[in-house]
Amino acid sequence: MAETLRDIALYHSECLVEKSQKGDNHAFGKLVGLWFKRIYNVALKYFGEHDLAMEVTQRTFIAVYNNLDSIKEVKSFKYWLYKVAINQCHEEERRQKRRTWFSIFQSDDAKRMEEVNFQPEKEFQQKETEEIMGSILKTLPEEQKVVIIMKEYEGMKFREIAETLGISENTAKSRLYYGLKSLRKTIENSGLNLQYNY
Amino acid sequence: MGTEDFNKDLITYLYDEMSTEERQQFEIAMENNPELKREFEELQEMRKGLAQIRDKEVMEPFFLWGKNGAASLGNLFKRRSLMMFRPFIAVAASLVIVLIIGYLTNFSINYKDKSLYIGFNNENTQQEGMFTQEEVAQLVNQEIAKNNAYIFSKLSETENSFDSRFAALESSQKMPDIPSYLDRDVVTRKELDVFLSNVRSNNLKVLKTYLESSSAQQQDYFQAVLTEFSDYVETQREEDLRLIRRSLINLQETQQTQKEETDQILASILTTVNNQEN
Repeated sequence: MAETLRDIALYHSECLVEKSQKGDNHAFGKLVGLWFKRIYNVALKYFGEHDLAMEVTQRTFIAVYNNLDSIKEVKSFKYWLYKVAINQCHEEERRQKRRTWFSIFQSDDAKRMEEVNFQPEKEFQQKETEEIMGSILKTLPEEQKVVIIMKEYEGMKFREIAETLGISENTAKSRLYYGLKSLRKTIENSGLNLQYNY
Repeated sequence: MGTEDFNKDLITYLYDEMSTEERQQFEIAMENNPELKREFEELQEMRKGLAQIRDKEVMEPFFLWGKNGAASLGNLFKRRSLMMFRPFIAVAASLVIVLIIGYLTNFSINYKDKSLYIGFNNENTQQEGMFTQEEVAQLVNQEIAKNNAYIFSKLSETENSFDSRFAALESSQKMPDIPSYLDRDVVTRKELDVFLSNVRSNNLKVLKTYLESSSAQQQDYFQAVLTEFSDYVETQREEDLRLIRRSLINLQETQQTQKEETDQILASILTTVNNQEN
């Protein structure tokens, strides 16, 4: 049976999890090295802010380390890891909302989003498409945003997304559909004419 | 087939998760339904837009794994709670920098006599204990006026004293009685000589007494002047010594400050060099 690099990486992760559960900190360090970039990029797309993404990624791996024993099926480590990361994102989102009193010092991204919503087309054209897309993605409802990130950037199957989030495949598809439609609507309402680089 | 089913199939087709048979059926349905095809193209366009967001490279921070749990050094130093106060920290840091620069450049602002003095190195500011040219002239004039008044009062006292002494002397020195023979029309030569001799000796006595008195008075006066001059010299000397001492202290303080500044600069250079070597 031909194995893809992805399968090899997953198998390697499972071995590292088993070793980590036996108290091998070196193995856990390797596991972090293997997944850190992926989880960071999930968080980065979720928040669109490096500091927050780093914070969430670090919290995720600390939570993983502290709960290694609760993993019964090492094969489902990947889903479990994404679940922890998404939970950390939600928690951080809630923390951010609690800090709304501090809104006078809003982040650059928040300001950028205001511009996306209210500034004319000329303003947009000067910005990078990537930056604008990231800002628009951030504005989606959490449920839709998470599914888009998992499908579009993490390349997960609908079955895997459903397993990770504890929802049905149809729900995952529905969230993705409405998420994409919502993104398109935001872009149309903003009068953006994005030029894509392939 | 309902709209929801179409939407789900559209998404499944869009992400290539259909079986070959399902795919063929859906493509036929799409050919017969322009609306569905248009929606598919829109979603595909949206996917191209999302593909613009690329993964970012990131360096994983240093973690501490232990029996009692895990911690990240990055987490310790970059807490959101601290970041929340970042603007305040930035303002405070700016203030500290301004204060340090102000201290190093001796920046000072003084408000005195309806005048605002702003300057560096104290060159343009009026230091404590320093006087302007006008103030010095005023002080000198006051001292001269005081001195003149004192001298005039002393002279007046001396004059009065002389007058009183002279009067006393005059009253004590009676003119010799005019002999009875001067009432006569004819006076012998001998009688006249005796009379003149008496007058002369009397005059000599008066002059001698006057000179003695005057000499004693002058002696007293000079003694008083010398005493006052001595006091003045002594006071002036003490004032000069105080000024010299203050100047020496200022010089010492300036040297100390310069030494500290030099130490700070050297420490900064050493740190920079060490960082570059590392």
